[in-house]
Amino acid sequence: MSSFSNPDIISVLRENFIPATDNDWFNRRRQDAAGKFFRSVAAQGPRKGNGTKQGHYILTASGKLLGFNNNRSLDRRKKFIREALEKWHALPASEREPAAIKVTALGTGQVDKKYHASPPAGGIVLVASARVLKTGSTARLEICSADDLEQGWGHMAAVDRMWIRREEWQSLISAAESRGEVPQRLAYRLLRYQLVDFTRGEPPHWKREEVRHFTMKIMPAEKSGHYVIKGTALMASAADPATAKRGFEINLLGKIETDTSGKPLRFDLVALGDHWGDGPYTKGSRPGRTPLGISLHLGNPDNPIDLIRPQGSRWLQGYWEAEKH
Amino acid sequence: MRTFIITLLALAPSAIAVPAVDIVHFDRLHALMQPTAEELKWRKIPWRTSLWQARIDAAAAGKPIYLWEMDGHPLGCT
Repeated sequence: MSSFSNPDIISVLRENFIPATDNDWFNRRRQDAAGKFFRSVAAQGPRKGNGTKQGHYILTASGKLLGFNNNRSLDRRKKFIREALEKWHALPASEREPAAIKVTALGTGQVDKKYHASPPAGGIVLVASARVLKTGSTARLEICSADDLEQGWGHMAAVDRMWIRREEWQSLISAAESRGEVPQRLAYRLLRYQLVDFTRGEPPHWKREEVRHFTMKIMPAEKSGHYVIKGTALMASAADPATAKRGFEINLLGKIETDTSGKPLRFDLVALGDHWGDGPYTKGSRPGRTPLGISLHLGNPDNPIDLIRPQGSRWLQGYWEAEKH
Repeated sequence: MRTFIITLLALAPSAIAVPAVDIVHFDRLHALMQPTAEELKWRKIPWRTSLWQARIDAAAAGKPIYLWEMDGHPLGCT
């Protein structure tokens, strides 16, 4: 269980801290005030230099590091929090009082656009959940427990997002009306960046040529404004899937519903298949081909957590033009 | 040839021994992949999704920042 599911940790973070999460890959590169601030904090601890700065930090709004921890042990995390809080309370009131320090929002012209992106205006955010599965006693697919996996973790649902531009959404519905193919750009984005095994961390995304074959059709359903997506696909790290070290062979089905203005009310999709292999940062896959499921649904535009940029969008142009690069 | 192969795959998903997704089981399968209530307990913590926003809020509230940084967003794909 994550330490952030522990009631003591939840309580102490809610009461005593402003809890925050952010992406080190961007923050250690971005050339703006936010990047400089983060790097100046990290440099006060063990994460100096240009390498990864992953970990847990406790700091003041002015940028003083009070503690660093990068250990999953619950006891060590509690100790880290307790000791940093003691340092916080030892600070002069001039650093601790509300509004003692002024920090203002960064305007759009003040952020490093190479490493900062927001969901496309007027577009759609889908939330993707991936989970390793097993065949249960009644031959139905079931979720795994930690005991089912050799390393004892990686059984929980992992989350990512998919961004769709307004014009791409419109082209998708146009394709549906003519019972056509899902536009290549959307199909490749889905296959390459969302239908990967991200249950154990940062996965390698599929290269364009690793999408060996697929079909993905969209058509109207019985009710007006309702559509169905059906497809199959094979992604594999070698042309011959029998020799590929990594692959994912899937069936997929999606249900879309729109209101009378064409706005999406529902965009649910299930991709289910056999996955095999792992990546440099996702070691510990199960041996052989094993079931992996990924489902997508509409994100809540008012929930900042749903608006976090997709993991596959580090090179944003490549993400948008997934069918090309 | 490519079209022929694709057509075969589309018509006979069982032939490639991949679990099927059908309309009847769609909702169950969709829900199966979603995080369980136990897996969502971390959402009881009011996470800000950027350090800079946390900095603004911490300064206003007079609280320290607890920051979790990963290569890949911690509330996403890490």
